[in-house]
Order: sequence, then C-alpha cells, then structure tokens
Amino acid sequence: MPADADIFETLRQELRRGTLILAVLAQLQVERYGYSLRQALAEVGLEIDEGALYPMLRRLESQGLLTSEWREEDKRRKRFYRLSLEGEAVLARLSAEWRAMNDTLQNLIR
Amino acid sequence: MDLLDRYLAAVAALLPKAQREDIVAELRDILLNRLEEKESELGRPLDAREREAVLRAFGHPIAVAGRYGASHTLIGPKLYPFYMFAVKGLLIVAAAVTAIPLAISVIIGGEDPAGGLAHFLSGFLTTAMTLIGAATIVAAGIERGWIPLGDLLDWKVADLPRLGGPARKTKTRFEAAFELGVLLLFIVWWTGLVGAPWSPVVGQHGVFLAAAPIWTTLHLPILALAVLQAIACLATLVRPDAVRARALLEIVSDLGGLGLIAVLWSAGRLFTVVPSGAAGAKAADVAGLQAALDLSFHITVGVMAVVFLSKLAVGVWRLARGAPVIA
Repeated sequence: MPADADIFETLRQELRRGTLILAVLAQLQVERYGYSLRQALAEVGLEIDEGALYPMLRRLESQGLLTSEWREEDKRRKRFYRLSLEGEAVLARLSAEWRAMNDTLQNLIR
Repeated sequence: MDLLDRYLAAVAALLPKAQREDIVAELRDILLNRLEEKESELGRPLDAREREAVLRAFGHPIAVAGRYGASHTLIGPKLYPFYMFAVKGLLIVAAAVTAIPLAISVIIGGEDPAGGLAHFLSGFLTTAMTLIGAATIVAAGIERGWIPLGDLLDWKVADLPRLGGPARKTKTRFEAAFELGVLLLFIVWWTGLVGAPWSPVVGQHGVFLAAAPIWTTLHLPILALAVLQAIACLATLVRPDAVRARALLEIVSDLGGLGLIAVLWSAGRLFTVVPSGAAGAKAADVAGLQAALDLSFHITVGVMAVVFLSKLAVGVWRLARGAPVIA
C-alpha cells in the first residue's frame, strides 16, 4: 500500500498536469525557445521537468496550437515556439474554464 | 566522440526516422543549456564525470526517446478492464483444454496422478502464456486503431443478467464472441491441424482408447455444424438487430446438432477400451472401464440432446416474435 506521501505526490502531479498546459500556452503568447520557456515558468514558481515539457511542446504543435521556427541565437540553432491563432482561441477558452473552476473550488474549499 | 554526441546518437537510434533530426537538434540545445547552467553554477568548466552526471540526470536514452512516442501505453485505461476480463476467461479456457485430455489419460491409466499434475502445470503455463500473449497483441492492435472495433462494444442494459428471474433467452455479443473463439479453436483441432481427433489415445498401463468408426463417418457433418454455428455467432456479432435471420440460422444449426446426436446415440459405443500388447490390462478391468465410459458418453449425449432441444425451442420462439428480448 502506498504511503500517504506517495498518495499526496500522485494527486499533486495529477492536479498540476492539466494546469501546466494552460501555463505553457499562456507563456507562449510571447515567442520563446524551450529553455527560456522553462526559465520563465520557474520564475513564476512553476517548475516543469524538461522531459515532460519538450514532448508537450511537440504535441501542442502537432495539434495546431503552437507554431515553431528554427533560428540561430547565441551562435546556436534554437527552436522558437509561439501560440498559433488557433492556440490563442483555445487559450482564451481554457482561461475562462479555469476561472470558472477556480471560483467554484474557492467556494468549496473555503 | 564527445559524451553528448554518444548520448544523442543513442536517443536518435530509438526515435521515428521522420522526426529524428529535428528532435535531436532540440535535445542538443537543451543539454548544452543544462551543461552551461551547471558551469555557471560552479564557475568553471565541467570535468568528464560532471558532464556525465548532467546527461545521466536527463534520463536513460530509452526513456527520453519514449517520451516522444505517439502512445505511452500498450493497453489504455478504457480498454484495460475488457482486456483483463478476456484474460481471466482465457485462463479458464487454458485450464480446461489442458485438464480434460490429461484427466482422460489419468482415467485410462496412461498417466499417474502425480505426473499428470506436473504435465498439467507445464501444459497450462504454455497454453495460458500463448493465449494471453495473443490477447495482448490483439488489445494493443485495438488500442492503436489497427483493429477497428466499430460498434462491437455497444451493449444494452437489457443484455445484463436478470436478478432472481428466469435465465436470459438471448445471447449477448460478448457470449457470441467467446463462443466464436471456442468454435474456431474446435474447427482448427477438428480439421487435424492439432492432431486428428479419432487418433487412439494410448495409455502406458496396458490399455488405449480407440474412437469408434462413427467419428470418421461424422467427421465432415460435425465440421459443417461447427462452421454453421460459427456463422450464427458471427451474425450475432455483426448484425444483432437481424433477430429473425439469426434465429433461423440457429434453428438450422440446432436441428443439425439434434440430427448428429441421434446418429451418435444409435451408434452405441463411441470409444472402445482396448488392451495393448503383452502387458495388457486384465479383462475384468477393461470391461469395468468400458462400462463406465459407455455410461458417461451416453449421459453426455443425452444432456446435449436436451441442450439442443431447449435452444431449438428458444430459436422458434424468437423467430415467431421477431424482436430481441427486453427483460
């Protein structure tokens, strides 16, 4: 049987999983490459494992929510991501959903 | 070659060809950033051991490449309960197909019970692992959309077992799928792909069991009946709404079954216990065993006749009613 700490950690990760996509989409309203995106998220207190972040970026791009472009910066080729038009629309809808859920939960866990 | 190149080459080998170059270029950038981050943290260039530690912390190449795969689960959570249900059913089938021939062998003295148990365990493990392996391949194929299910998993609440009432009179699609699987196994066995069914079962303690000539005569009719029943099951799976057509198929197949039962009943002895060689069993033992066998096969044939008659009655009723039973 898993320990209480393990159960908590599993639930915490489940809780974070959906919100990370929202955070990534929000951060990519401005063009960033993967490393700078991770730093930007860490600065606002959202640490994200690179092993999860980069496959997520590719998945979001394959779903048409992001566009990407290879460019040279600091003498190195980097892949820059930003929201596509479809991504902006999805971000707006997800943000509204998030606010509604947040309001509901605030009332529930008060 | 630099450690980073070796690491990336190991990941690249496991990536889909179309995306390989792109993903590796991105991973190279990520890892170079990590290495630089570590260098600025320590204020000096990294030595080989520290570079290796950074790469190691990023993950094993198999795990890293796996994150970019299209699917991370062999069988997803939606399909998994059905897969587990099928596996449990297959374990029962594996136990039955292993135990029945062994039990016959023990009864006629070809196998001592201790040796029989060892053979059962070994045979059961092989059969169970083969069936579970096949089920896993099928489930993984379904999960990836290689095997389309269509509306096969459609179900009706009315198909669920009734509580406390009389037994349900119609076959569910799951039952039809299970029956179809068993029938296909039977057909493969009956057609001789897994040994001819009328081959004598040889014992080691002075007797063997010889099938009566009637089995050779009925070989093709039994095969035809099995094929007909398989078609009826397939019809239940594919066209559950065609109640009358399905009922008609089942009536024809039940009539065929009754005909076969009648021929088997009139044939009398279905298997003969024959003493083998000089070490043959005593005549009294052979006669006793033969009498027990005759009785058990006649009881079996009788029970089968009752089953076919009941199915026939249900089929006629459904043909007349023309609609599925809603309990």
